Amino acid sequence: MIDTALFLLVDGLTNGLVYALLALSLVLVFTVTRVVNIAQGEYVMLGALTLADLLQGRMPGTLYLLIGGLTLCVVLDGSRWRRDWRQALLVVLGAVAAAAFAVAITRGALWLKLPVIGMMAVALMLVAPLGVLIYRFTVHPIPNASTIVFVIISVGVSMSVQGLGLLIWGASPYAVDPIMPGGVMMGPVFIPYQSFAILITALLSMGGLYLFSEFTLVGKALQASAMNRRGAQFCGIPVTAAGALAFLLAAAFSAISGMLLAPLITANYEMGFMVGLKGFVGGAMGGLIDYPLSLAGVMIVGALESTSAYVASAYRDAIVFSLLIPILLWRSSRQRVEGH
Amino acid sequence: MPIRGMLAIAVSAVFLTAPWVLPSFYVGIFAYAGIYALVAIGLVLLLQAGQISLGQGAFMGLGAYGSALVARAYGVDTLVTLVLSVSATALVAALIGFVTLRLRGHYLPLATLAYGIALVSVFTAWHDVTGGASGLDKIPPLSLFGFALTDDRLYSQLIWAIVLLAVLGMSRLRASRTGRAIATLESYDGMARSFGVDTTVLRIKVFVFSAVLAALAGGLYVHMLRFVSPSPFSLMTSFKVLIMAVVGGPLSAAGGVIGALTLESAQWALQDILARWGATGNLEVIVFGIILVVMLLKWPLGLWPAVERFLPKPAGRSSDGEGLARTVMKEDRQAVLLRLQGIGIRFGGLQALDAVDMELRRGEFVGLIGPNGAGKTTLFSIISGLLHPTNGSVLLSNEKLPASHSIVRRGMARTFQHVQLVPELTVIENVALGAYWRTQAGFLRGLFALDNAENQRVLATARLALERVGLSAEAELATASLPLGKQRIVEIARALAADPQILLLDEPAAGLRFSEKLTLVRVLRQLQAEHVTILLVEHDMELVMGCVERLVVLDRGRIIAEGAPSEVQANPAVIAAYLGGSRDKAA
Repeated sequence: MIDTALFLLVDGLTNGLVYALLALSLVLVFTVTRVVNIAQGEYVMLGALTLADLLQGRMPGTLYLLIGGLTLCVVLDGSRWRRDWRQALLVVLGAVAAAAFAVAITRGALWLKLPVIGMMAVALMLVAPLGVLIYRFTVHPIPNASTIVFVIISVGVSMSVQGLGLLIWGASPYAVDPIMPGGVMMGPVFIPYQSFAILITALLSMGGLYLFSEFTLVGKALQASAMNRRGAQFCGIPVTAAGALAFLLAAAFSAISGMLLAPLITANYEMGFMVGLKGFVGGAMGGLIDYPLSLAGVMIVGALESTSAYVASAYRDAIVFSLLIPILLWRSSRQRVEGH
Repeated sequence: MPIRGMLAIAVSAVFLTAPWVLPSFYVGIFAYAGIYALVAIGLVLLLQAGQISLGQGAFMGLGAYGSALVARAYGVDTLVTLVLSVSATALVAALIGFVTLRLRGHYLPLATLAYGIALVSVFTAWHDVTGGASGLDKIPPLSLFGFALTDDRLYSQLIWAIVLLAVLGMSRLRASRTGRAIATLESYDGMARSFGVDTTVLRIKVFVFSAVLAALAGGLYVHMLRFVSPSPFSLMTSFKVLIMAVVGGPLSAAGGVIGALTLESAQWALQDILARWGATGNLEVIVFGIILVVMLLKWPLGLWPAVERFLPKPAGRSSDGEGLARTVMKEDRQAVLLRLQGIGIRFGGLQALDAVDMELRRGEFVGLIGPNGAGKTTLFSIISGLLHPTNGSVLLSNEKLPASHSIVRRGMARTFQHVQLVPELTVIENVALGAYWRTQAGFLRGLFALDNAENQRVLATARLALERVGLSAEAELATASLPLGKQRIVEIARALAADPQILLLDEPAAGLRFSEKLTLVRVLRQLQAEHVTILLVEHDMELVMGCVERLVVLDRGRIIAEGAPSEVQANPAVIAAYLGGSRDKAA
């Protein structure tokens, strides 16, 4: 009995840490850009499948997305060609250089047969820029749109990216190697090394984001944009760049969580959406603005998920998503206390 | 009959005869389009209220499973089970709405998304009752008193008749008391509450209405197909209906119909093309996702405006006849209507107001002046219940200030420093919002056009208010087409339509031309003769000094002087506050 409980606890905490990286991404994107990003989970899928391709020695399909996106960027800036050919030339050269660099590091990594952790770094470099591209296509053109419009747009992004994932990788699942195979017996419970890797990565990511926000100028600019967009703009902070940076970091965190999660489950084109939503359920606890409360929320989600998978596995998703109701009730009671 | 009405009848006739002329394969597709159109119409209303649901598919599912399972198990007439399952769905939606719509921030899309996934996974997991993922067959057809509707063409006609009725009802609703209030929900929450709209309850009503349409559509779907399984109610359906509403556009229920027809045809065409290329799986979602993003970026109003451009303008509803009865007030200078006691409010480190005491007696005309940033607008927000003070209390007719949407019912109306007129409504409709609290007709009466007499009196009241401020010529114009000065006067007309005993005016003369200022002064004098109590915030000193009986001067959150205009003008502290210099010495 105790063994089972311990096992469920470890399993729940591992899941919770994966969702924590998602919640981190969601809060970051929401605070800086006011986008409730339903599509955040798709970076989880992209990260996992890119890593799967790299580990099996294939050129990852993500390159198509990256190069396609860069091309679209150049086309969208086409109106600038006549007005300002130098700027336009810079954009084109930049896009070509970025594409060439992406292909080069991928080929290099495949030729060198890097270990898992090296391949993860390469996959990260391929997936994270997609966040910036999507920001450029969907948020940048209408920075002052309402939250509702951004929610709907992110639904569209999620559908398209998931469809492209199906087109590139097909419907079949992919197995992904863990950073280090095996595990260790701690008391009565077997803990895979991958769980430790997840713990360490999650702590490093959160700590890194904290240090970045508190102790660098760029990080402080990001915080300022999150607190007061217009005020930040008046202070000379390029809020558009801040938004792009938030999307970049969020894509990176989500992709990492996908790469860490993939060995525990199997990776396929649909995996991201649900992970993203579970990040949301946890994040709702902090109103999508409060990091510590969001972390508490995702830990509850993770624990509830592994317990319900054990007790009533068919109803797992129903139980996890129903958790949103008590969370929202709790928030509205807090709102009352605050007196608004 | 107006041309627009005749066109509507002609188009309806085409939709209703179509099931009898189309080849039988297309009859089914046409019926499906009608079912999705019904769901999309509900979503259009929700979009108009500035909300969005990502779980309409699940509401369809609840309506479908509820009706199908009960009818199949107990052999009850399906029309009865359909009504029951739609009512049950309405209850569920009311619960979700109650939990999410009271919260600040946008939780409805997340909550509906989570609810949708949870419900579909229950349909799949509860194998003994629902038949699990493979579904249940032998669902009875739509029936009442043993008469069953099994003819596909007739069924398709029935579906479209319901869709057309929904469109008609929505267009009636749009021009009703509730419809005008719904138009405020997206961006003017505070203004709407000041004029008596309980915005939270109205949001919940709109959400429940959208869920009811979805559940009805789900029920019609399952009794047509006579087979029930979880997949038609999945997230993909919710997203598809969302795209339909966005493609058609949120301006009109007809947009939902156009969106449904467009998207259903596009889906069939795309699947056909993709199948010829040998593609497998739902690859059309890539295109759908891109359509959704591009529509919102480039044409956020959808396809409907492109159609409506060719239609004659809809006839406004009649504003002839008498207005609503007005309260007649007697002179009673002793009655204290509004009493502020020790009001203080703190925003973070800023003490915006500190220990403000003030009294307004019936029929008094008081000016509230002070330099910019003195706290005048903040004080207005506190008096109208939109901000809660940190200390002190506000007494309205010797009672504690009620919730913000009930204040106007106690006779207090206001205007806003930053004009808060709803651009989607005409001038007279904006003014009619002022009379919201004086009338009763609710959501359903608006929907079924049972509010004609009352609505006409409301519009007559609005017309009289516009006449009073000299804007009757502009009544039917689009609000955004007026210059700012006239928009401010419309704000005053709206407050007059509320039949106030106390009127709070926040910088009504800013941006007004001289002739408009004269009209304003004339209206204010008239109101004073009717014993309306007025509190005026204004920077135009000539206007203030010429009108008011008493002045209150606010500086840096405190009252620094109070009295007749001539006394205040000579007060050294006031001069220092306005002209700078050493305030401490002056005090």
